[in-house]
Amino acid sequence: MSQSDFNIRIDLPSTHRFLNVAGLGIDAILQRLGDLIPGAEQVSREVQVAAQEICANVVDHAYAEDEKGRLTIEINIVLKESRLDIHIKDTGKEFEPDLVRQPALGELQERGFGLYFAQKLMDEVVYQREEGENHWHLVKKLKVEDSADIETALN
Amino acid sequence: MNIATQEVVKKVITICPEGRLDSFAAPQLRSKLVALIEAGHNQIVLDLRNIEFMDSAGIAVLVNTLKRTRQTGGDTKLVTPHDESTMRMFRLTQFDKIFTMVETPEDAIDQF
Repeated sequence: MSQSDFNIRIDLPSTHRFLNVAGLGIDAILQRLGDLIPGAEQVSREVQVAAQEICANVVDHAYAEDEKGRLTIEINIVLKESRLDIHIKDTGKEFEPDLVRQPALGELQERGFGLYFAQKLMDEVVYQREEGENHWHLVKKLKVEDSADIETALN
Repeated sequence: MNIATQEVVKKVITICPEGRLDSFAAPQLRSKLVALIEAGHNQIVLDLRNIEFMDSAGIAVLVNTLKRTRQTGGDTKLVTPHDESTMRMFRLTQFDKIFTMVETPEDAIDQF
């Protein structure tokens, strides 16, 4: 890992009460890198919504609101590759993508927008079940200042 | 000649949620709105100018309120959020075409 790579992990109980910690953590990280990432504030808002939507799904469905469940949210920023990766992992019930329907846009539909928002706001959203764990991988491509500026700013 | 005179008084409730309207805060707002509607208020203005963050749980509350008020002959109008990412949620869902969205609470009240 180089000086311009950042890896931060947040571990949360499965409750809506503290999901804002994930969102605000992402915001805090991006604020501190704001000089290097033009539009960091907007990126932060989009990534926060996407991450909180996935986390809310985990609380509601994977753990069915059992607060003993845990979520880990790992935020990786690799400035030289201009990307932000978020890995959300839980050990709850397996996600069943076949049961997800695309929302009916323009109709008075209340539910079913969570995954849709995540997919619209991120460049990639990938789900995998691995050894009893649910693993959501979210990718956001960043517009980063050039490498020389990164080295200068971080030194 | 009889001249009938009638005074019409608008009864509109304005609600101003602030901060993060996410999956934790949304049920609190929903409870408040449901209580108002069940008490007979079916003309509601939701002033979203001070919302800093909204996710799908927040959107669900707004749509639920619109449906409930319309079911009883009323309506729900929105004051447009200042936060651009919140506004984007409306565009992604196309709810910006379904809700009446205006710039000020006064404009919203005028819509009733």
